[in-house]
Amino acid sequence: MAPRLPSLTSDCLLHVFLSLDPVSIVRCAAVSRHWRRAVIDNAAEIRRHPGHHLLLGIYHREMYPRELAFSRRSSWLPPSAGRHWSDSLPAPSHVPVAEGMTPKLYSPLACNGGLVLVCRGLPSEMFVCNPFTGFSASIPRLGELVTHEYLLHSCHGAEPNPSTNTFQVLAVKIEHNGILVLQNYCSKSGTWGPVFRPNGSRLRMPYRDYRAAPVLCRGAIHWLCSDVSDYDSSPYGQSCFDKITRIVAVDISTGQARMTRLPNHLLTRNNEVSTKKMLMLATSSEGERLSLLRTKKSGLEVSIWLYAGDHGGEDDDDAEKSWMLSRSVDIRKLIEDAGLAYFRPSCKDWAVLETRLEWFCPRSNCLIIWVPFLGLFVLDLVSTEIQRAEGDSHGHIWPYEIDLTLSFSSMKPF
Amino acid sequence: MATREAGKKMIMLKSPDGMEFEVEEAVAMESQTIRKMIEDDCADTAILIPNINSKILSRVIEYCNKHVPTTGATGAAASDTVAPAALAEDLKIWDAEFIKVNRATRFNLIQAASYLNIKGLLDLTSQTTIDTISDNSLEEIRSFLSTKNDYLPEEEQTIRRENQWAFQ
Repeated sequence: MAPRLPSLTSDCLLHVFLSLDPVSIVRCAAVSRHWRRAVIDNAAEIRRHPGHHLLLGIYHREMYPRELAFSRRSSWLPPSAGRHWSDSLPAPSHVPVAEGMTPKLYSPLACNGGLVLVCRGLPSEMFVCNPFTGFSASIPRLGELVTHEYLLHSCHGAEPNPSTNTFQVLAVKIEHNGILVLQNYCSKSGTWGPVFRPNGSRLRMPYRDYRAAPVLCRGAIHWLCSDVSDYDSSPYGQSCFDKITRIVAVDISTGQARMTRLPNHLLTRNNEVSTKKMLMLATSSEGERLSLLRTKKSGLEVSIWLYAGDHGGEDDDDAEKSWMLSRSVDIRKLIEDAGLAYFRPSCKDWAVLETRLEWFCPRSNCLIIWVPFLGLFVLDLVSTEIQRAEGDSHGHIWPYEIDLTLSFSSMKPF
Repeated sequence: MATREAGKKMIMLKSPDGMEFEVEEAVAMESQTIRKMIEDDCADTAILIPNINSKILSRVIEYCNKHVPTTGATGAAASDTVAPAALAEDLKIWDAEFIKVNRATRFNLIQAASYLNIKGLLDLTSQTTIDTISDNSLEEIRSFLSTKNDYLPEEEQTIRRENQWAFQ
């Protein structure tokens, strides 16, 4: 037997935990009572642990035969150097609530914090499930807001007191006159709130098919939008809202909306910004600040802008000064350096290609982009590592990120 | 420990087993805990370092001596300019040598680094532990750390079931 070693204090163990991957931390919690206590006592700290690889993969829906599929990270090219802990996790490719049903009728609507919002067939039945734990909760549907756009948010509660498997679902609809209509469901009350139109007299949403996802930052949900004053008053102009000139922050609990102007240099004269997915909302790596991603003129460069203004302040006229260029990423160079420049047979050359910003993944700080003729790419914004994801159905993908740190805070003490 | 040339402020550190160590203030201030004591003027006489025996404390001082910034305060030593990269490389080699100790000593050093709040030493001493945990099964972690499994069998089963994916 080895001689008994001095046991490390909780503080020392925390220092060790913060350098470990999530699976190892879960193992540490099983080592002994003392170690388990060290994990549980420090759960709040560990929950803030940076997780670059929390993006496990991408859910996608096959158009035919409408099957729910999962493209896992380990199948992407080029395989990230060495094995990663997430490779050993079972791929969450199924919906656990099948009850004798075949999963082919399910399609995903939203993902967040390890939870997936799915519907069966036409959105007549919706539920939120966790493919890892088997958790599943059905959501009553209201006939009031008919939409296919949903946002799963506030998963597992707020920072100081996380509570497992609580969530909110925001139904989002853009009416034909560009007005944003919202209705929120809260799992705690089990009911849908009232339908509301934040700042309906001024706020106009661009282009009805614009899929860029809203971003949650500092308790408010942000969309790219425009203001009625941005359009001339001709009767034709009023039926087509296709500009992006502002950001709106909507506080779901109060229904309050606050609009801020975007700097002119990030805009274009025509509506290409929205039709070509050139602009996207994101958050900074620590999640505290709003950021903007913008493809450059050539279309193969993405610049990252950080909001340096006051998040709570009044509508500032100094939009030009509020956004600071953080850095630019040369997509073409990254793709070529990674050896991923395989063009489809019908291909053109680089000169005509452009990057389309599809999704931003807030937990892992990854950006999902689509380059026509080349495919779907996942770019880690922190390390600028790029991978080619499987599947070309770029219009129907939902990145799946997990909230593993929740496993630490929900541990039973022994 | 030999007293350095006069003019430099010296600090007396005392281990619980009665040994006294006279070190330069700049060296002692590598420890954020001691720095705070000095800044709060609680350090006119000897500072008693609880829970750290003289053997470990002397190693900690050895580390701080090596890692104290060679600029400013130490004057003369800094003027003969060494390329920073070479200096860093030299330190790395020294660190690797420094950490070649048995597990008990290393654990004591982690404890001391944590109490004295010396970030560099804490990172250095924790790294081996981190490496071991990262790639091993629960049984291997326990045996490496010589930690006794104090769970009842049914408790351990519950724990494993709680996050089954982590134990596959």
